[in-house]
Amino acid sequence: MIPSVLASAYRQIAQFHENERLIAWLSAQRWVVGFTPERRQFVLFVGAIVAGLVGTFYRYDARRGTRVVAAWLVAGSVFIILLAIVYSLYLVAVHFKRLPLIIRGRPQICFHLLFWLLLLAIWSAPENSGLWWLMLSGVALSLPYLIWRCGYMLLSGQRGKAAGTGFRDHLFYIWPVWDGTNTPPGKGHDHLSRSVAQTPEAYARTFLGGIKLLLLVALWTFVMQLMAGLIYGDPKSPLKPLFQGHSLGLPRLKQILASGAALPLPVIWFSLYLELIWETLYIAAKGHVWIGVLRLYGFNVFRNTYKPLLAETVVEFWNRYYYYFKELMMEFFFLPTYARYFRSHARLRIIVAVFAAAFVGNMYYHLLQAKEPLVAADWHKLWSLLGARLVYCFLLAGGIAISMLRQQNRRGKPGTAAVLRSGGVHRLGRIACVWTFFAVINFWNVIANLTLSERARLFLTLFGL
Amino acid sequence: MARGRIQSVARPNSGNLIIQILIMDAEQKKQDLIDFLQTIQRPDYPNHGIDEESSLVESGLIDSLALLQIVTYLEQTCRIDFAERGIDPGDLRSIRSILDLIARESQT
Repeated sequence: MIPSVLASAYRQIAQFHENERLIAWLSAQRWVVGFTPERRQFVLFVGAIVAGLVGTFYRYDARRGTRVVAAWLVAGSVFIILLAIVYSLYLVAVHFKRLPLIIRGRPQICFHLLFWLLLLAIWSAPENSGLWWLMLSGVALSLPYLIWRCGYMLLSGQRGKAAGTGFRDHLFYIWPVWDGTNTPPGKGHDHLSRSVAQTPEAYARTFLGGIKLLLLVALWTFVMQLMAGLIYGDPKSPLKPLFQGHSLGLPRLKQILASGAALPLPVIWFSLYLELIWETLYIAAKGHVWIGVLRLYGFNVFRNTYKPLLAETVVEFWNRYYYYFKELMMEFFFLPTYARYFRSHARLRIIVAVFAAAFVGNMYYHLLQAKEPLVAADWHKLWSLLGARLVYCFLLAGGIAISMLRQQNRRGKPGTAAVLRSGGVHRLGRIACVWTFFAVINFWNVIANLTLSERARLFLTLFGL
Repeated sequence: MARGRIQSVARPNSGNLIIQILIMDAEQKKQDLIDFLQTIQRPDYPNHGIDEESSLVESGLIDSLALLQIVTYLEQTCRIDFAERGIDPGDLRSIRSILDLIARESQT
């Protein structure tokens, strides 16, 4: 009796955003009624200009480390050039059908080629060779943030959905006030326009969903600080004084790699699993901020992270861990490959498409993300950042491909054979396998000052070799 | 093929008949699609059907991986060439959007 009452009370509190009375009350509030989709979009449009300006100045300043007038002048010019690029791409998307066939066939590749031509121009000029060089490198440093967002705009044009849209309909997700990484949370125009709340009731519902995510951010941040103080003994954790100097003192994975794994094997394995939990909490907290703010503005979009630690297959984990990154890889790499190649070989078709996304696409994305060494043509630094990631992406792609093929085989079987054995122990076993896979491959994802062969030797020690 | 059936009966002065056959054909395509979706639906999905407008993935009928099987189904049964037009997940969102896609592609 008492447990069911408690469970019901917990559900009511945890699912407060679905409370119909609360939704009805909120949707009658004047500010909810008055904050129409058009007004919300106007705020986001103005916010986009401010975010673009601030972001460009921040990126430029971070690189130059200077606050002299010339730097402000260059950053301002870079912003105007970027705005012109985004507007040109908007025109391309809107008038997509009138473009030459070669661009219509491969719009994304054409756009990326332009970026690489820009890089070539920067690399071939002597460093600091005048104002134009500074401006070009400023543009190149900012483009990785915009490239996938503009890519979604081009996709919209390619699919015939950009015709009739205004610049305002696109700019707000290109320089979003909710920020994010190079991955656009909420994707682009097609997805966002489908999910916008049109009525006060729908807006109230979405708004409460946003509040819930922001509360979860506070909760996950607290849990991370708890882990930092209690498990890692991190002196920076504000909760550390609570434990009066007591902590497990376990090392983070990067410390293990730095120390050459001179620790007992159980400790290393424990740290691997804890790192997975830490990373999941970190990405969930970050993603919930982006999606929380999006929902406050009435976009009822999926969470970025949704209970990945309960996933029972590798592909399910990848889908739930960083949803918008997976979507980006799907839309720009997986689906085009799947649509074009090996159409008469069902299994090979999936394997090639998965490797195009989780290996090639993933590597390419992170190559662009390493914008500083990329623009500076610092190949040594790039290799030190991305070399181990090659192995990580290869293992990830292999795991996803196997998981997808297994899932598809299972789906083809009739009746009860299609259902995974649902007993608690079996389920826990599957979850443990998924944890182990991602915890182990994460060994290759953590940046450390090690050569590939040094890391490989350490990796083998995990298995007692 | 269903597409061929429409073409073979499309004669002048048979307007009502053509409309009737087109409606029947659309109904048949819808039923074929629903039958196919039942073969790829999640095994744990409750057996209460789904309306035309609901999102197939969000409703839990299928997982996102099953979209690939829908692509293969449309390639094989409706001769839709995704290599040429690209795959738009929005077109595969619901039964209605898939039927719209089939109708659009039949016209081209």
